[in-house]
Amino acid sequence: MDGYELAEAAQRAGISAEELRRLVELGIVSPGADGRFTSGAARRVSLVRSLVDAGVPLDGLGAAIRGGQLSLDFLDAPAFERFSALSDITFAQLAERSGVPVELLMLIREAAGSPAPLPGDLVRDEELAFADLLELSVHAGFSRTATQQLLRVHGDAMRRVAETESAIWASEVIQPAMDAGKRPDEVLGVEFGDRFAETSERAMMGMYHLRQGQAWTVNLIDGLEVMLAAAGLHSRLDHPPAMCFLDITGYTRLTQERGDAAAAELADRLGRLVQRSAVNHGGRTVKWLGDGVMLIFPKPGPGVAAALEMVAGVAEAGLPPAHVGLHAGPVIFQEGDYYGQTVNVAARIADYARPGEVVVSQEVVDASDDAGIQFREIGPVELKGVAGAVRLHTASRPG
Amino acid sequence: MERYGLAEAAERTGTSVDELDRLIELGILTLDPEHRLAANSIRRVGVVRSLVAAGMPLELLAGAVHSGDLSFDFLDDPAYSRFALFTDETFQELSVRTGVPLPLLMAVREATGSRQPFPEDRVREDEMAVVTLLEFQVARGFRPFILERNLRVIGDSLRRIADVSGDAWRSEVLEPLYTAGSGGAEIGVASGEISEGMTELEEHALLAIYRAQSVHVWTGNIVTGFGAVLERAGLHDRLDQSPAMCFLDITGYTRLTQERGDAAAADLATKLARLVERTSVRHGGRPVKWLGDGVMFYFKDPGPGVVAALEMVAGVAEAGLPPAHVGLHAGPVIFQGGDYYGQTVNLASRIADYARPGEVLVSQEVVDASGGAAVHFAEIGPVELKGVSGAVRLHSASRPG
Repeated sequence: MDGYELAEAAQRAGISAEELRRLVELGIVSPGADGRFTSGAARRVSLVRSLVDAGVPLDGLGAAIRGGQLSLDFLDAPAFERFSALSDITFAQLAERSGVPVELLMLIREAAGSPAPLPGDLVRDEELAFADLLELSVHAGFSRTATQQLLRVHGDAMRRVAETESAIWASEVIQPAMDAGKRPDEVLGVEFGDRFAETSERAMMGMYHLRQGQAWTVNLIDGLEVMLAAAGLHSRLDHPPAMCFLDITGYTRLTQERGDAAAAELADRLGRLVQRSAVNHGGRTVKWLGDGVMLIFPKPGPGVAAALEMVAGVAEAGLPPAHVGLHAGPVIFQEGDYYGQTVNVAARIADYARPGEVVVSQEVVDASDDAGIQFREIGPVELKGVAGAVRLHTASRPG
Repeated sequence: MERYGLAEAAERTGTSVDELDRLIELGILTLDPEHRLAANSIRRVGVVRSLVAAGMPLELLAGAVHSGDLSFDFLDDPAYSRFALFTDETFQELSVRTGVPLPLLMAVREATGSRQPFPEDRVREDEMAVVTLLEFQVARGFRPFILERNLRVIGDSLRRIADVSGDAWRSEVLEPLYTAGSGGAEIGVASGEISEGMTELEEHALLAIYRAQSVHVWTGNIVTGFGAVLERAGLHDRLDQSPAMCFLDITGYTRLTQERGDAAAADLATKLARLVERTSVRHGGRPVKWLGDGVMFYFKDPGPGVVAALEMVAGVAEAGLPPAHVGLHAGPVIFQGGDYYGQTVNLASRIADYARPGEVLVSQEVVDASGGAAVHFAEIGPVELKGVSGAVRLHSASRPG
């Protein structure tokens, strides 16, 4: 038989039977004719909890639903299945069954953006999919560190995607509809019932495949190099990458003078411009910082060429002048970011560079083989937080 | 299995017939008796091109294939279908057919981390899934510049996952095999066994996290919408409250990297990330991004944000990490491309710069919005902050008792 008795429905929704009875009284949740609750009812309960947490009074909500001003029926659309109920297994039990340490399993909840659970808490239906992956990884011998990193990066990256999509949904669909006098629950029901959720998941997987193709290619190249080297057919040249920081001069002041929207718009334009130059030279942006960008270039030489192109592009686009610093050396890749002294020194060099300048370390000069780029030594320079003087050069493309 | 004649195979792989001929001659590609190439075998073309671009001469690769030191057979496995081929449609043609503006279509290619294409370039198979979504959105009036921004966020986020996942594969599966001295064929078999099933599970797992995260943000949209309706019906007073932006910096992170080494610094970053993420989420906030020596947070409500900040500073100290200092400011912000912008953000960052090790400093706006929070504020007076005109009234927060 479909559905749950009141006690079980309350447990799956994570509330007490008492609370569920109150929601029934208020007309917010209703059992079927057989007195049983559907999974849709469980979704209503968890949404109501969020509304109450956000300060919406339960009585007002009940009154609006009874009065027909609001409805929670949109939660019955298939797209809302992601507001999943709890399964009937706890984290501790799942750990026992799967052989995955319970601490690792509980990290799934955190990667999904919720507060850390306790071992005795029930796992959500949707979380079980990730548990399957963890089980396979653990049995394939993946270390705990690697698995934890995977989880955190999944959570962090998917949060950004979900937030951005939701903001778009709010600005492009909900707001216009509400301005036109529609109710939010009507918009959500119709549009989500449509193909949107499914189409956007397919789009995301398509994009993920393309990104995976690139990441796998890196491994392939690495692996083939190892094998060719083992066969004595090829010697691997290990050249460290260059880290690059590009800052916009006076970004804080600009925000203050021209306003928030202008500053956000500038960041957007800068983002596009920098991304394009980086990719054209084999590099990529790692992250956007408060007033600039951090990039990595597998080869320092093209990195300098890209930096010069970016500084010129920023000037041409009429943006405030940029200044750039590059340093080459070993880095640690972790959770999608880069760490280490090389990164810090590059950032300090960028701080040191004057508006419109590209300043690089000796290591970058040594690794560059672009005859079109000229380096001029500035001499040894003391950088903040860096012990000892660093030999710096300005880069330019004459003619 | 689909098969292509040479001309078509060249188009699908974005290369010339001459180049294909050369790969066939070198034994990297094999023609079937009807002089055709299997669809899965032509994926080798793209991989070989990447290898050559990475500095491995074509002749050397061919020699290694010939001697059996190397084999590209693993690429025939269906899992490698993500090394996508080209469709028979160009960006230009697709734009005409779907009504999606050409620049937006071409932004799909860039969002996947590739170079900006030309209008007459062919679209890749996997890009088509993204185009379907764009067609849907454009038809419903979504503005193209908003969609383009969205593409960049999705591309960038998925890049991080693919990179970290690829790196885990390297360190956890491939490197142990290299170290054991396994040959090409053995590595192919061993990693094939592990990857069987994992690729699919990975996709399910990714979608699961995506769905779970979208539940949080959809809930936010629903709460806002419902609040508005209840307000209209006179059943609820909505309080429009500004969020707080918060910066937590680690004192002397650069020096620590220098003194204790890269690995220790990276390890510290991970520990810090875990600690502050947990605390912020418990107080209704979240880390927005990891900066060079600290973290930027968003808190929907300033009051809980201050409580979280105090907990984080205490937690950092307890964990034996170098002392943290925090700044919070409340006010309007602009959310764009997964990040927050505006004067509120900048000011919060400057306040954090001003805070001493172990200190949580907040603006007057944060104090005003922290009515119910169990926090004690001591005014430190008007302060001049770098890059900010005029003096700012700051307060130092502490836990009562």
